[in-house]
Amino acid sequence: MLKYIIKRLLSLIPVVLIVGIIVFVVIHLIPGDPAQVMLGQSATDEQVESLRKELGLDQPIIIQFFTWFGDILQGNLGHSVFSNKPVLDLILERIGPTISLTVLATTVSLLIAIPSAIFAVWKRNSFLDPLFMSGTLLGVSIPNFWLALLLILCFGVTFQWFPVAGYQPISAGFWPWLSHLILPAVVLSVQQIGIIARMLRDGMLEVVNQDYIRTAKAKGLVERIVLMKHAFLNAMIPTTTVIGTSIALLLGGAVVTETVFAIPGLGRLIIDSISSRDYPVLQGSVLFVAGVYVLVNLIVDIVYAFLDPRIRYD
Amino acid sequence: MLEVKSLSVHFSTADGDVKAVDNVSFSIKPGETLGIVGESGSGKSVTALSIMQLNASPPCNYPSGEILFKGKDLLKAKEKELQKIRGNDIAMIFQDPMTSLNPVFTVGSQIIESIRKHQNVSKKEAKRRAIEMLTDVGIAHPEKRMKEYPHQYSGGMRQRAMIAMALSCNPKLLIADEPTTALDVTIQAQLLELMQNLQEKYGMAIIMITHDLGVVARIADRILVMYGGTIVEKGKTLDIFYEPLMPYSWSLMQSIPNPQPGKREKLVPVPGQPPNLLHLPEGCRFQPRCPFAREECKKINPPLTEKTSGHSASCILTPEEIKDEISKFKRGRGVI
Repeated sequence: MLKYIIKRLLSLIPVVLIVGIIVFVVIHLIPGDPAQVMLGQSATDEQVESLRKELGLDQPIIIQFFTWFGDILQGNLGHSVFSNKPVLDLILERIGPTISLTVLATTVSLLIAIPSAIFAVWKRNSFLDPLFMSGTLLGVSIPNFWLALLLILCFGVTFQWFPVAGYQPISAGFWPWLSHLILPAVVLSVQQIGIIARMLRDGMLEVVNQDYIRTAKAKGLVERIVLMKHAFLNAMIPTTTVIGTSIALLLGGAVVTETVFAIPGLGRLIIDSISSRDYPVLQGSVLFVAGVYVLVNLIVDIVYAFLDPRIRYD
Repeated sequence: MLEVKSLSVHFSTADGDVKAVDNVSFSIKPGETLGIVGESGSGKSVTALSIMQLNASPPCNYPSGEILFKGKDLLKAKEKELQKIRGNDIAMIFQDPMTSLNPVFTVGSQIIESIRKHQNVSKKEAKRRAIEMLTDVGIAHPEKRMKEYPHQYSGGMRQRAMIAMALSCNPKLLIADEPTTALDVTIQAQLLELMQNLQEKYGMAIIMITHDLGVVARIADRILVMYGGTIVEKGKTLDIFYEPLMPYSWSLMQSIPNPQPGKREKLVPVPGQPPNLLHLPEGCRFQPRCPFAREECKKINPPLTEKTSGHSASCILTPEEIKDEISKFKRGRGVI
């Protein structure tokens, strides 16, 4: 098991390196001089020149890359061009709302997706299955922003149950924190539920026809235990990937939802840095998101090993 | 102990009802071994799964028949009653041991699960019993093997573990659905011997479903030969092997290689294809493939009738006529 985890960790090194190269190259693909682009048309030559020096743009590109990447490995993602704050600090400021939203949305989706998928498989020969299928299809296809606006209109404006927008940290109290996040979490979970529930249902339907499920029935086990123990655990193996991906997607910032609800999360940071051409921040946050993806995938791999002894003992 | 009376099993499909099993009757006594033989699609497995009520329903339905176990009709029993019988009174092992155990649970926990489901015993007692069962089926280091997962077992060992699980609640009847088909010949022989020894020890009856005549010849007391969803011959093992009264059973035996040194005999396959269960042929179901078919075979579907004592067949030919046909056939091939 330990060997498996170490092997996985080592395999991350080339991934991180490649991600670093891509992020680095992207900024150099922008036509013109990055310093000029950052400062805009009105900047003087001296200003551009000093920024070039500051950013190290006067160095050969290979040296630039290794200086930049070396800094990153030491946790230095550079400074914002505008606020001059360290990029890492900016990201850490924004990560709280994003994590809150991710945890809440994922909890809601798992609590709904897993039981409903099991139920759909249990009642697979009744009218409930097509109903379930169209429900999940609807969940996947409803546009985020539209659902968000609808919920704001209904529960924020008409009923006034929840605030329309904004964010309160959990230190300000549990209810203020939760009430601000409920609507965005619901918006995000609707899509997640659709994907996860459908994946789990398909996985379970496949497993239900396996020989070992027949064995479990031949032992005299009740359908409930056959489904919830024998079929569920096996179907969770492929479903874990989907759950992991959607968690990573949320951690990378739910750009649209965060914007509609004015939540100062990672997604907003990225959008803001694009519109203000704050390239160090953009570079840093994209790299951060990539790192989150890599990490979540690592966790998914480890969860795999817990679920599937065949991987654990390989 | 178990009596199946004119059982029919149909599967509804888009093209119509597939008559997988048609009017099948047989019974089995305590401690007896009954072999059910036939080619793929003859209805052997469906018959076995019907006893356990494990055919996927829908599309499966039972238009007629009774399956009496200890006086109770299993076709009419409630799911709850069936769950008490499955694994407890009637246990089953399957064809492919590689896929018959759940990959994510240890072998031990799967055996314990079965014991705890049917017997009111502590975890410790169930574990002790599971270890005992693994020892009984000849698995070395059972304590250590209990904690292992199916993928750490070889095919033969998995089938042994399946047998241990099936026998863990001391069933009265063990249904073995082609238990040795997926295994190599040495392992097959070991498992058959093991099953015979365990039958002596535990005294359960066995229904052995197979297409391997060698297997039934070895362990069955009586044999049912199935063809196209019906029983075409039924009798004691020796009677059927030495004096087949239905051309199909004889054809099956002709298709087994005879490994005798110095004898160079060509194998005789059964010509043609098994019947389409959606559109059964007119008359006798075997008639289109039968080497001894006559004109009237196309019209009459002969019922299963007792030809000699305890030996029934569904064929319009008398035992003497069949004997004649067989010797004529052999003479024609230059083999006496």
